[in-house]
Amino acid sequence: MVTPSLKDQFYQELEAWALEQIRAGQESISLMAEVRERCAADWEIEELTRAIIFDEAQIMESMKGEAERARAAREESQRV
Amino acid sequence: MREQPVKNLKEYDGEDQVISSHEMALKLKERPEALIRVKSLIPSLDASIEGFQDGELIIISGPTKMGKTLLAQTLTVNFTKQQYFPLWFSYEVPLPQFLSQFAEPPLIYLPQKLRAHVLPWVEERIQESFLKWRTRIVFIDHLHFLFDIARTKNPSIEIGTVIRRLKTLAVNGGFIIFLLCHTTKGKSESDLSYESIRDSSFISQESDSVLMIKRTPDVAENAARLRVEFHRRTGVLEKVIELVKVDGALRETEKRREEAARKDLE
Repeated sequence: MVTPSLKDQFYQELEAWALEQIRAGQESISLMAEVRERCAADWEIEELTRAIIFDEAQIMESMKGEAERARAAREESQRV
Repeated sequence: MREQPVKNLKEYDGEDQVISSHEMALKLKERPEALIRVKSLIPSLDASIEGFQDGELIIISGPTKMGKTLLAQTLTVNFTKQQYFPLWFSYEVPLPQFLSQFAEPPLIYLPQKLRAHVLPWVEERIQESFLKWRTRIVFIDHLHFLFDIARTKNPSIEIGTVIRRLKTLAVNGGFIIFLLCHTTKGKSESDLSYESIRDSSFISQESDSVLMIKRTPDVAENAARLRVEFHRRTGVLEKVIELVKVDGALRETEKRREEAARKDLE
């Protein structure tokens, strides 16, 4: 049986995991931005880094949604 | 006794040593033309100023509640569309309100807590954000939060110092800094120009460009007029761009966009 405290812990860990993913995304974007700058003359790298940055930003956006949903679910379960 | 320093200087080869213009030209060619070049995605503005480049200090000014923050937020969103994520110091608008003003909050970076009237703190956060997240675009809303006007005997000189330090930071660090400034109260709106910027002529002297914005309810409810007062790199002067607020952001009106596109083709 799923106890309220177990549910609470699950959502808490889900939120923490999503936050970790956001931070990893930031690191990745930062690294790609540096590569893009250093290889500014190479259009292929420019395009590739742009695409990776775009993808990472999308993932971060969806992880923000995950974290918000996990937080809302935890608050809801605490109310019940 | 006086020989020693002269002798040392003759062999001096530090990074600030004096060299010839020919050698300098060769050194400059080794460097990329710009570390970052980003467009405003406002067609007429991009056509006239050819985007923004590192080392530039751009002033956004206009009367209170006339669209300065909205223009800065529009530029922010447009920069993120090009995968450049700015660092923001939003002193004027509280953080929840600031983020809620975006139709879709974009990825930007912000200090967790703001400290006002401490320029060295701002400079350190700009460096921190660059080292951590590679941010090269900075928005500061607004100038009068960077120093304590109550303790300042001569605001004009204090502002001059702030502006010079920001410009130096932009050049040395390779940043594009957007600084929002108020205009002098009581100035007739029809007379607005860079000379109306509050407290100091240093602002326009030291900056690379001044963009003045004001709402134009006489044209339409959501209309605004952007004026590029001057732009040092391109030499543009008093260029007027008509904008309209759509979905929480400023866009160029269709007619102007078509004109700019035609000009681009020519």
